[in-house]
Amino acid sequence: MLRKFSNSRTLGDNIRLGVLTAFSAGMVNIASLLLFFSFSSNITGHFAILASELVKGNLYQGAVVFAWIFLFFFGSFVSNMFVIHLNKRNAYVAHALPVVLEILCLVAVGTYGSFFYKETLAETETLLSLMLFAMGLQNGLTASISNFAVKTTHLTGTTTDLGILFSMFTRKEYRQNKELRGKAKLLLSIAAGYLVGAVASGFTYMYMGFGLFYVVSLFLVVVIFYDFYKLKLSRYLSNKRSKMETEQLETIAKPLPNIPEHKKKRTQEEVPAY
Amino acid sequence: MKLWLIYIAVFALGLTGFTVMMSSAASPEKVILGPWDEKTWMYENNTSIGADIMAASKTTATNSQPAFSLHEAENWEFLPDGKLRLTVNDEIQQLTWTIKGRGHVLQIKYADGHVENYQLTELNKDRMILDAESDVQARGIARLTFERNKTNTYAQEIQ
Repeated sequence: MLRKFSNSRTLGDNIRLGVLTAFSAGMVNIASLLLFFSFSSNITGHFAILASELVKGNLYQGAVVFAWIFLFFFGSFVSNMFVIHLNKRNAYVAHALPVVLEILCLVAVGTYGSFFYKETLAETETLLSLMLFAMGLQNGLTASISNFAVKTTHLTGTTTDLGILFSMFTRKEYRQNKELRGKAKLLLSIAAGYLVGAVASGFTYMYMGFGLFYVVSLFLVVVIFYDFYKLKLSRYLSNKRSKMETEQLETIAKPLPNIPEHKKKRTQEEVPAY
Repeated sequence: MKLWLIYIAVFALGLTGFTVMMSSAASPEKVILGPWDEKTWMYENNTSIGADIMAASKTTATNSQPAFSLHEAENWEFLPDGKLRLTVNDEIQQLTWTIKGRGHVLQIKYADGHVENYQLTELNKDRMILDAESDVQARGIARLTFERNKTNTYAQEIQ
């Protein structure tokens, strides 16, 4: 999900990444709405609110919304900085770091909310800021590594693209286009993941309150460890393969019985060519 | 090097703008403090209930009217410790209040755990308009307008 970059990613990579991150984004967005009465990833809405607050002369609220928009932007900025500056050293680490930061932000929100939250406005604004930064990190990462194919924190673009694609599918030539079908599959998966996450968030909130941020973090841990596991597995398989090859070579080169020492040596010398 | 300077300058500009905006306006949590007199009570269909018939309308609520109990209060006093003192027919009730979101939602909690959310449509030192919310995204189903009771020291502090 994370280790591949840009055009080397398959549709399956993007779908897996899209579904899991859209699920967590849906959960976070609805959690922020239920707990704090404000969305944490609806940046279009925040721009509209910013304009509305400025028109009404509510500078305090305007400043808060401005800060939230900036933090989403900054999250995306930081994410892509990791990707472009660390990608050549270690792609997996470069892609996993923004997710680790996101998990830290969400765990901080969950922990503070569970144990210290006094429901003051300053606390609410700060916790929302952390969530917007986290969503910026996530959206920046998924968009960056998937060549802008996967964006999971809001569905405006996704819904627009789906509308366009389904209108295209009214013509046979587009219906048979494998790339377009794949794109539709990806976008539908993202929308479904987001919706399921949002609904799950509503139920989880009823039973767990702020604890739901731990559940979201758990999903993000799955995103990180899926690739870690894959990397480990491929490394393990390649190690095993080379070990088996070595063993085969050793078996062939094993001293043969009743062969004089000088002949044995020759036989072993011949082995490397095999 | 020059590029980094531009980046830092843009971020600093944003931070300055944020600081200026924040410092030029008081937090809704401070503005709301003090006593408020309820003046009008209006339904979503913009049928204003005048002061004379307001009391009557409150006592003859139909099924279509919201089940918000707070509109029975004539005076609300927001205290700094999160307590809300309501005066209903010279009787005083103690509730708790918090402000959520970007300072646009007033949440009031009763002792029995009942919660009411109001959208703070307007809040300044003299006037407060609350929309009783049926849904977070929807405009309120009832609008309550308050004016500052200036006999109290909170109002003087804010002014």
